[in-house]
Amino acid sequence: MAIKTAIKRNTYFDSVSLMSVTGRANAVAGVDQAMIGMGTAMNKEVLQNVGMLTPEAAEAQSGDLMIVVRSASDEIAEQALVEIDELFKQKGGNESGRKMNYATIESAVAHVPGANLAIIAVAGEFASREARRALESGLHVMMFSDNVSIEDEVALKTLAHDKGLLMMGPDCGTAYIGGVGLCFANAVRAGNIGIVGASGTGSQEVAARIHDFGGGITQIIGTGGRDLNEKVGGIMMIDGINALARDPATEVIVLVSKPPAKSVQDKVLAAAAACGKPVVACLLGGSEEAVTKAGLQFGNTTKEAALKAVILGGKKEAEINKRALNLPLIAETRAKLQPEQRYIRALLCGGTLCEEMMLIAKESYDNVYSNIAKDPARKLKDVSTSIEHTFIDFGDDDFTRGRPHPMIDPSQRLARLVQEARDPSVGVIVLDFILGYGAHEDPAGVMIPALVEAKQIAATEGRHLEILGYVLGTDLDSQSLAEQTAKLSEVGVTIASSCTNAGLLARGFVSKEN
Amino acid sequence: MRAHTTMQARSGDGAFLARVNGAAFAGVIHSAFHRAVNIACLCCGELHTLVTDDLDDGPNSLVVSADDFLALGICRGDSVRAGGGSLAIAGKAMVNIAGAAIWRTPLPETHCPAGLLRRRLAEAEAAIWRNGKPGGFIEGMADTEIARLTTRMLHEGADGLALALGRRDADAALAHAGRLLGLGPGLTPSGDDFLVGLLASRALCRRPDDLGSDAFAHGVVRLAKSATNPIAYAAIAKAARGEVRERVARLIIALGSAAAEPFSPALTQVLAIGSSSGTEIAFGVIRGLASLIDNGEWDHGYQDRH
Repeated sequence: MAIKTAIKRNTYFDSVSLMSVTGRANAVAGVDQAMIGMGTAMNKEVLQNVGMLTPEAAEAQSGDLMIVVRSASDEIAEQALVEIDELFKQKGGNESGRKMNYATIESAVAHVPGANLAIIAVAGEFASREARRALESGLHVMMFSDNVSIEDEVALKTLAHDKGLLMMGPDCGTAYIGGVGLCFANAVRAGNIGIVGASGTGSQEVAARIHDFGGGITQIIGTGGRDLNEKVGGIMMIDGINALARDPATEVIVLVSKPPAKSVQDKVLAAAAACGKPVVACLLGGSEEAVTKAGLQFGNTTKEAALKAVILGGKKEAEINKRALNLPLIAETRAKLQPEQRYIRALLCGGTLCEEMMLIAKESYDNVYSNIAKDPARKLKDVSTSIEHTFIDFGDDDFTRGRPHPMIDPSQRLARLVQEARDPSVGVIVLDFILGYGAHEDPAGVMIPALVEAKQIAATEGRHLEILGYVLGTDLDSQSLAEQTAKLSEVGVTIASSCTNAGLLARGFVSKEN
Repeated sequence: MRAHTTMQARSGDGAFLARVNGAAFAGVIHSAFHRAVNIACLCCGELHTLVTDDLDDGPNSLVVSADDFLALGICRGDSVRAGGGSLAIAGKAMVNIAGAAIWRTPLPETHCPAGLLRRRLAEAEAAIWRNGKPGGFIEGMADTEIARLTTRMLHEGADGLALALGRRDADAALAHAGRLLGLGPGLTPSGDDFLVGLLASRALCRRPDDLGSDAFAHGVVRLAKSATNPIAYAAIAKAARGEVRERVARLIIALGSAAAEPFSPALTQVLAIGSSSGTEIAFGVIRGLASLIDNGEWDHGYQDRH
């Protein structure tokens, strides 16, 4: 048996949180038992009596919080400590309470000497000025704000590059740095895989799949969606690759983006090839040839990219549950649909999830429309009306001007779900439910009445309506992945195990070919 | 400069209110939680507490109109200073105490006969076993060797302590109390919570001329200083002087009163405290009152407290 200890000095969490974390810590797979308690002499005596008093615990004081874990191996015990720490982060608690408010970045820097990163989330017109101040103060920047000019973006990224800092964004919604999820991110296991992503939900999806396959994450560095534009030239993507190359904990790197401009792609792939670590490039819809020619691994889908990364990271392929596609389910669902139910309607919060599912549909169908389609002929003229196979990104500007992101406010999707259910040509409606930091606390729960109504509308008209749900999350997310999927299953939603599988299932469900 | 949030104190410990009114209080945030913040007084070192208005009054506490202290950015190390009838917290929040009701620990006015008290204690103990929360004295939160051993040690300590108090053996009682201090899960370990209930019930129900003369209580406070954390210590030190949260005092009074009011509403309120803290406190109250019957103090304890 292995015993590992973590001591949180002079740290006070309320009893409800401590009890809750204790219960969950004892339920972590492979943990024989765990104690989370104040470092008093009597609690140490209990540890002594069960053979778990480590030298670190023996040194704890009565105001310190002791976390002692016994498990079958060092690896499991270490992992359990990471997961317990994650639970405490989710509790927020009182680890010396770090919520502070400062009027200016300079004031924050002066009062928080250890700070090294600023998140900028102000109106776009002010964002560049604040980001520059942060960079000038020696802080890495994550800029959530959008509506920043491309000239400002280039200037900020150049400044950051010259200073050896990261300039993530503008319009960067996801990062995971030093074990902390920033803006929208999932709680994931620590590991040896780093991600540089030009798309937020794409990075979240790859990270969640890596976690599900048994791997873990070091860092997720976001670049902002415009970084691979020719004018910006992939400055942040290349700086991100180099940062992960220097990070000793990162052994494998995954790049996630839509296909870059050719000149930028060449630069990025060259930098990746030169970084000295194995790299998987997931350029959704991009060229496999260019990637393999550069000596890198190509991830055709987010799921494939995650799987390759986990295997490169040392996980034995035979031990991985690859979540194979449920082919009998496709045949079963096809049989339930009537001949006129030919179309997919995907109503999604995640831009990259929308992009990937749309790419999968386009492999089989020509008549695929979207509000984010690049081809003008396939771009929806009226985003409120679907045409044939329609994939809606509710996180796009069409739906978010002056409104919260659909990961926070589901109202527009609720109405659209019912609207699509009335269309007799619809065979499957696809929905994503995104968990993690920053997301809605119960994304499945808020959709339940509309899901029930949609099913009832179709049933009243004598149709089966297939609703396919994908929950992007991990078992460490605060919203409880298991509860979210259970809620959806209870009202007849079919659950896909990944974005890739959701795309393949939806495509298969409405196929009329034998 | 960022505007601070102004909160109104609804009620508060009389001594604490007086110090704020007289600008005689300065401190630093010792620990902050969603529904409570502890302030270490720079003069006396005692912890003083602000709690949200869904919680009850208690010694050294102010009940204020707030939902979540952490949301206000209040955190450990923030300075706290009284002045002008209010309490300022690091430029983040201001607590206005004008109009706040003065609170003091309620005292028992009457004593029921020992036989009735014993019946009530038996009923109350059965109710705690039925409705209490697992964690310390009640097993079930985690089926581990640590949890089972902790529960066993808590019961051994509590049983030994009750026996020793019943036969007025202060040394043995103190030795058993020492085995309870700092024992168990939670921010305030289960053994400490038990002792809070026990000390408070004994202090509130002993003869007034005995208040402050309980060598056992003094001994526990002395031991607790180094045996547990400052938050648990503060509660023990107050309980030893008969100062305890409103709902705990109400339970003690309901159990010991000559009036025929049912005790179960007060017990329900106590069981709702914290995770399992209320359960441990309630067990302590039962054992504390029982010890007064066993050592003969109960029948001699009635005094009009008006």
